[in-house]
Amino acid sequence: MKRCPSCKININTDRKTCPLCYDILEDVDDKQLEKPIYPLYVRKKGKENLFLKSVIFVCIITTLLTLIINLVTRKSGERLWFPYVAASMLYVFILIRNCILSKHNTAFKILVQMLSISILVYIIDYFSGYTGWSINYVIPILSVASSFTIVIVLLAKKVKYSEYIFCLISSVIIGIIPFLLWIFKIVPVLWPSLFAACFSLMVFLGIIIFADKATKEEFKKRFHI
Amino acid sequence: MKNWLKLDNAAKIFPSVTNAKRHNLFRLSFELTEEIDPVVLQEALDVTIKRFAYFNVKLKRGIFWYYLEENKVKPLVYEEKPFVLEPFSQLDNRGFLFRVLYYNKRISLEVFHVLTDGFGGSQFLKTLVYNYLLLKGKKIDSEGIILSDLETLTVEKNDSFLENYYTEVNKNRKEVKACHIKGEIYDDDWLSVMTAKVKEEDMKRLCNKYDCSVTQLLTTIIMKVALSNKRMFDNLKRPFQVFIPADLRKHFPSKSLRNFSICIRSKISLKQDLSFEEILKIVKSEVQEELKKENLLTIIASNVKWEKMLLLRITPLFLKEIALKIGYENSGSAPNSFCLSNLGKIDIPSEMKQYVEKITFANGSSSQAPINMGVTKYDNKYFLTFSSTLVDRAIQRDFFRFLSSEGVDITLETNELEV
Repeated sequence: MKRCPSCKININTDRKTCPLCYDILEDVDDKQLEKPIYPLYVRKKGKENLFLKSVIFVCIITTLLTLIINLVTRKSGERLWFPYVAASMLYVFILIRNCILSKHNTAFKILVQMLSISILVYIIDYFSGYTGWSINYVIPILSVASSFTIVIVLLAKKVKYSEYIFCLISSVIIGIIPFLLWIFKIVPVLWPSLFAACFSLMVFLGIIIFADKATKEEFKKRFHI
Repeated sequence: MKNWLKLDNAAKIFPSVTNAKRHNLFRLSFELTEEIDPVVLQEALDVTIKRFAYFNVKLKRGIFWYYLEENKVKPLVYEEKPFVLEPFSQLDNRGFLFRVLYYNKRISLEVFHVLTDGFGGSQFLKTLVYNYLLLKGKKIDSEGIILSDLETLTVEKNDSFLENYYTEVNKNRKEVKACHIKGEIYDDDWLSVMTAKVKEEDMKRLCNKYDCSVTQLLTTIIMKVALSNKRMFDNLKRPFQVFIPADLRKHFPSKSLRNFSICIRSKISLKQDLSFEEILKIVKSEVQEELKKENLLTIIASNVKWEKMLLLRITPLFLKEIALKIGYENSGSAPNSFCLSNLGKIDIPSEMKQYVEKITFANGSSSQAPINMGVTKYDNKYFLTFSSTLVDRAIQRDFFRFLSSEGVDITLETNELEV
């Protein structure tokens, strides 16, 4: 036990100076602390997510390099090809960040994959003459594939009740996009979008009917006001 | 019973305003007479969490509000790290909103304010230590004080704010912006903790001398110290305001183990010099005024009214958070210069007292209120704990020097501040 003569208080410590005023402490008795009162300070290690940072670095560098090469070597009238690389790099980044590294639930990951691949194929389509194959066929097929994957996930995996809600919401969003394409006649070829929207609706109704009680309770939890 | 819960009124705001600069955590510690056995402590936690099922939750995001859901994994005990009140990470803490720590002879409980207030935390920790001692073979009669001996009551999870909300009460409470302490803060978000042990008889003597309560006395000393350290404050045009959390269970019947405390306040202007007696007079009258029942009902109503507004309720959470952050800045953070939280007497069974040396309480700090104080009373001793992110320790130094100049015997322990 030590004592500070200026502050006139006892201090249970092994320090030589007072923690309040820094004056030299006097010994009251010869006893030393058997163990420090708190664990001793150790500098914090920074949380370095080296992998993700490397991915971001590679994506940005590749995009910039291809942009420069494309603009420099471009002959007049020739199509730009760097958007393919840029869009692919963006997709790779989203893939790694959202699907591999994060802990979101599966339905959300499927939804993000569908949206990002849709954007990727649309950009490729747009910069390669825009024949419309992306929104006519590929995006509706993606939508059907995503809804189908959600069904497989629900049947195969022991899904927590909370996931049902996400599956519901995901399947709705997955279905809405082709539905909007169909109803506003944005696409010249209509049947793939209609099929995708109907498939999505089927999945949605299936989840509601077969997982009724769990869904209702989850709904109350997530949507209570 | 449902396996999910809505947040209580006070808790509704915390997840949205908690960030790197404001953690909204507090720590309660029981120091025992022997070294802690972590295996036995884990068993004690397994027993205790069954009785406190309400603590066995994790925070989830809904579309309109956050809510609490049953946490299916088991809570673990951890050895204390050098950092006190480190923010909780969902991953490391397995989703729990509290953590149980051990070090040497001490068991600590760190709690995120969403879960409960100081009273709820102390009930949990008391029970945990009681179960620990029982598993260690000690014979202790719980005397009706320890909750795990009593049935779980469904009213423990009630939101007592809602129970005491009356629409006819005046709901307006004007908040005044206060001055804040600015200064160099420690690297790495280090929180310096200084706990002083003071004898009850010394406190009683001072309270008799000045004819006031312990909280009023400590508030006045803090204000006097602030006056003599004006240089530390920004914007002296604003008053120095002390926030004093008051446990509403003392004023309204409630067995709730969730948040049920509000902050009352007392302020002085730092522009003119006041004597200790003059400050004490202001503090006494303001605190007495604040603790009047109509005023407490007004404070409750002014907080609950936001939760009841239809427009706010149907706003999606991501938009609501923006409004909550702004609201909290104005009414929670800006008016607060210093928080003095007095938990009062911590009651434990008499046969348990021989095994427990100290009970301390450390409040967290924020960028607007970098230094705060937590007070507990146990077994004829008061434990005053300063928790501060400031390197400058003039406030702690002047505070303790005031007490020692009044003849009070102080024993100080710190977590060694040179980082």
